[in-house]
Amino acid sequence: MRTGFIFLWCLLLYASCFAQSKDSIMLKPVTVYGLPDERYLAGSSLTQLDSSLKANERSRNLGEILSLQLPIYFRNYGNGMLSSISMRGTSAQHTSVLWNGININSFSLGQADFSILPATAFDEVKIHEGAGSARFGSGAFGGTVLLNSSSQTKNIISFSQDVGSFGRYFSSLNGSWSANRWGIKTKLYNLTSENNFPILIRGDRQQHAAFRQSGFLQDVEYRWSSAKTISLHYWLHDAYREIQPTIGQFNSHDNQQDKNHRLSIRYQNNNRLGVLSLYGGYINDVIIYDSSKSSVARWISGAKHEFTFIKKIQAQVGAEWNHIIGLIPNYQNGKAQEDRYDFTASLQKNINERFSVAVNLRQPVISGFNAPFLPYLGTEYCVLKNVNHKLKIRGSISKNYRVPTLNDRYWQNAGDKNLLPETSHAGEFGINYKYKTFEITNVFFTQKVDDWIQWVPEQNGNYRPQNIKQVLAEGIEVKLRLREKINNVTIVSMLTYQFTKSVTTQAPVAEQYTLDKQLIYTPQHTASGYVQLIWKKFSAHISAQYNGKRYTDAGNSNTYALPAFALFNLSVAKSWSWNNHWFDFRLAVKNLFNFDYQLYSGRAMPGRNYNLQFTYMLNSKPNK
Amino acid sequence: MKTNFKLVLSIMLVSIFLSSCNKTNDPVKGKYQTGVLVANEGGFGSANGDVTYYNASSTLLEQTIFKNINSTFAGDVLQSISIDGDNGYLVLNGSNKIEIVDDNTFKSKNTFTNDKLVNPRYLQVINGKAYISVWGAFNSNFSLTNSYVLVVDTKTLELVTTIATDIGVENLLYNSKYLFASNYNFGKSSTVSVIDPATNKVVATIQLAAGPSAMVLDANNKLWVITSGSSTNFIGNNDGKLFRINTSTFAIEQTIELSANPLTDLGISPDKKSLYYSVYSSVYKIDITATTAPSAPWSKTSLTSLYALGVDPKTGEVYLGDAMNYSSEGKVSVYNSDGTLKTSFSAGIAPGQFIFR
Repeated sequence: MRTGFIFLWCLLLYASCFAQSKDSIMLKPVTVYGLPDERYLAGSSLTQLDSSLKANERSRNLGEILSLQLPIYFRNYGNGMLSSISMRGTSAQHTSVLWNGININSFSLGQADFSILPATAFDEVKIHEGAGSARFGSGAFGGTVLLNSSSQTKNIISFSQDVGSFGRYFSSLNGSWSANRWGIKTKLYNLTSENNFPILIRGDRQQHAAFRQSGFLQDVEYRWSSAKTISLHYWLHDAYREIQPTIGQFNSHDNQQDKNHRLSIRYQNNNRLGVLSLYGGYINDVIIYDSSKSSVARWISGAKHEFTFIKKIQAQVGAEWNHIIGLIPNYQNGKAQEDRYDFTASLQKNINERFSVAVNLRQPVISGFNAPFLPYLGTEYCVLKNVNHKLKIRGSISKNYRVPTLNDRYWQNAGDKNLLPETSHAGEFGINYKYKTFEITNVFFTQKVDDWIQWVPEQNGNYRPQNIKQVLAEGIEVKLRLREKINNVTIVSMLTYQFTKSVTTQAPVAEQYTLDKQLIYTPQHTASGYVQLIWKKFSAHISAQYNGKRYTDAGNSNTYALPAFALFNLSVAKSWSWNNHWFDFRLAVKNLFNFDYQLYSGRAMPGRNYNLQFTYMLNSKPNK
Repeated sequence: MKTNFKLVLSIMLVSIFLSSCNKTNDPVKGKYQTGVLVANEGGFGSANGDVTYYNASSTLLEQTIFKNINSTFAGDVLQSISIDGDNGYLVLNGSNKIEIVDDNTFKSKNTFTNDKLVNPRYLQVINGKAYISVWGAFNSNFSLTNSYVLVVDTKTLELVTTIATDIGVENLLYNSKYLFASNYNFGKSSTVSVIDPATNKVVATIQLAAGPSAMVLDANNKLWVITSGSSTNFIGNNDGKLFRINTSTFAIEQTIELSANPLTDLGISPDKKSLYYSVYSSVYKIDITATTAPSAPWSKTSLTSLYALGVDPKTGEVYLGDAMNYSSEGKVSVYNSDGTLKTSFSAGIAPGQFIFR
C-alpha cells in the first residue's frame, strides 16, 4: 500500500512538472490561487469561531469559548487547569491542534492543553469537526482545531484590560504596521488569577489554584509582489500554575510550569504554474512539574505544490519531515529521538455548479510499524438553489490513524516502539438548508476506532500500553443559525445540539464489564448557543452551554457519575469612537445562575463571577 | 440422638433469648453498629473515596454511607478507617485530612488537618491519643524522604508530638504495651519501629526484610509481620517473607520465605492459629507453627485485581476486595473458612480495607 501511494505521489509530482512545461510551451497566462481548506474538505464541516465571541472573550482560553459555540466537551481539572478536549465522542488525543499548519499537540502526551491556548493569540480559529487524518495528519479522529496568524495590512495599536472576580487581571497590547513590502505585527499578553473562588458545596475558598500566563507573538511578512511572500510567525507562551487540589484537600504544594516556543517560516510563490509553499518550523514544549523537567523539541520542514491538473482538477501535493527529540527523565536513557515523514496529495473537482468532489491521500512513514495509507473521499451536492432557499447534501468517508505517543513508545520498562497506531474508519452524512438568513445543519456521524491504546496492568502490577480496545462513536448533530434585523436591532443567534453514543466494543479480558458502556467524561447530550443583540453602539450577549450526565468510570456507575449542568453567561457592552480612537466597555457575568458543577470528578469550578473589560484602539485612519 | 438434639436446640434457644436480652440492654446507636465496613479509596485524584456497609446476617448492602449522610464523598484516597469507641476515623491519604465521624451513623463530627499531615496512612487510638502514620511529601523524583508518626489529642485535636520513624511508615498495631509501626516505603524500607506510648519514644527498631506492612498478633501473642519484598525496574524480586517476633524481646523467632511478592495485607483466623496472605489472585493459608510457605494456595480465586484481604474474627470468613481497573466500581468476594465462595457484593472504587464490627 505504501509503495503504491508513493508511486502515485511521484506520478502527481511528475504531472505537475508536465503541466508546467505544457503551460510554458503554450505561454498561456493562467492565474492559479491556492484553494482554502474548505474546498479540499468537501463533505465535512469547517466552522470559523465567531469573531464577536472571540473578541468579547479575548481574555479566555480556547477551551472556555469553543464550548459556547460548538458541542464540544472539555474535561478541566479545575479552573484554569489542564483542559482536555473531547469531540464527537473521542478522547483528548483524538483532536489535533494545528498552529499555522504545524501540529502543536504534546508529542509526549498526545493531547493539547486548551487552558494554555489563549484566544487572544490567534487571528483566526477554525474547527474541522470529524475525522480528517488524510488532510491533517495523526490524531485527527474527532476533529481538528486550526489556529492561524493572518497577514496584516492596517496600522493599528490596541490595548485591552480585564479585571475580574477572584483576583483575575488580563492585559494585552497589540500593534501592527504595514509599509511598502513589510507587514509587522506584535502581540503581548499577560493573565494572572488568584483563583480563590468560593467552593459552592463547602463554602470555603479554593486554595492553591493561582495561575499566571504570559505571551509574546511576532509576525513578520515580506512581500516581493502580491504573489511572492515570505512570512515568519513566532510565539512564546509561558505559564505557571499551582495545581488545583481536589475539593477538601489540604497541604497542596504541586505546581507546573509550561514554556512553549513555536516558530513557523513560510515562503510562498503564487504564479501561473501554481502555488509553491516551502515551510519550516521549530517547536519546543517544556513542562516542569514540581521540579521535574521534561521537554520535546521538533524540527519541521515541508513543501507543498498546488496546481490545476488535467480536466480542471485542482491538486495539491506535499511532503513533510518531522525530527523529534524527547528529553524525558522516565524514558530509557532519558531520551527519545525519531524522524517521521508524510507524503500527501489532495484533489478537488467541481463537476458542475452544484456538484463537487474532494479526495485527500496521505502516506506516513514512521519507524516501528508500517503506517497505514489514509484516504479521504468527500462530496457535496446542491439539491436546491434559488433566491430564498438553498438545500445541500454532503457526505464523506475516511480512514484515519494516530501514532502512539512518545510515552507509549519510549516509557522505561513499559513503552513499546512496535505498538501499532490506532486506526479509524469514519463516515458522515449532512444536510444543510438555508432560508434567507436562517440556516439549519444536520449531521449524522459514525466512527469505529481499532487498536485503541490502553495501559493495561500485567499480573505483576506493571502497566504497559497495548492495542487492546475498540470504540464505536456515533451521533447526530443539529445546528441552527439565524441573523435577523428588527428595526434597528440586529439579532445574531446560534444553537447546537449533539447526541453522542461512544461505547467500548472490544476490551481487555479483565474489563469485559466495560463493553457497550459509554466512554468516561463523554456526555451523551451536549448543547450550546448564544444570542447577540446589537443596537447602535450597544450590544448584549447571552451564551449558554449544557452537558448531560458524564460517567467517570468505565463501568458507567451512577454513584460516581457527574450530574448534568447548564451554564449561562451574560454581557453588555458600549463602544464609542472619536476620530481615530475607539473605546469599548464590557461587563460580563459568568455562570449567571451560580450552578455548582464539575468538569472532572472532585475539582471545583467557580460559581457566579464578574468581569469588566476595557479596550482602546488607535487606527491610522479615522473610524467610520 | 433425638433427645440430644432437642437439648442442644433448647440450649441454643435459651442462649438466643439471653443474647437478645443483652441486646435490649445495649441500645441501638445506629445502623452501622454491627457488620462490615469497606474502605474504598476512590479514583486517585477524583475525591470520591467512601465507605460500603455490608451486614452478612441480613445481607443488607449500602454504598457511599459517608456521602449519604454528609452529601459529599469522604475525600481523596480513603486509605483506612479506625474505630475507637463511638468515633470513626477516616484517614484520607490524598486529601491530607482525617474525617472524624460518629461511627454508628457516619455523620461527620470534625475534620483534623495539620501542616504535618501529608499523606497520612493509618491511625490507632491509645488512651485518648491518636497515633497517625504519615509518609510526608514526595520529592520531585517521587520518593519519600521524611516519615513520622503524629500524636494527636483526640479531644482537642491538638498535636502532642511527632515521632520520627524510618521512611514510609505504614501499618500500626498496638498490643496494649507497645505500638508497632511497619516501615514499608514500597519495599525500600525494611524495619518495624517499636514505640512506647508512655514516653512517645521509639524504644527499638526491628530489622526485617524489604517492605514490612501488615501485622497481626497470634494466639501466643507473637507479632507476625508480612514483608512484601522488593522490585527491580518494576519487576518483583519474589523476596516476600513472613516474620514471627517476640513482643517483649523483639527477637525474630521465625522467618518464612514466600518466594513471591505478596499483597501487603495479612489476615488471621478467629482462633488466631492460622494466617492468610495473598499473591496476585491466590490466597494462601499458613499455620502459625509452620516453618515453610505452603506450596498450594488455600483458594485460587478468579479476582481481577485482588486489593484487600480481611478475615471476619467471628465467623472466620475471608473477605477479598477486587479493585478491577482501580477506577471502576470494585467487588468484594466472601469465602467460607473451607475456601469455597460464599457470596459477593459490589463496593466502591478500589476497596482497600475491611473493618469487622
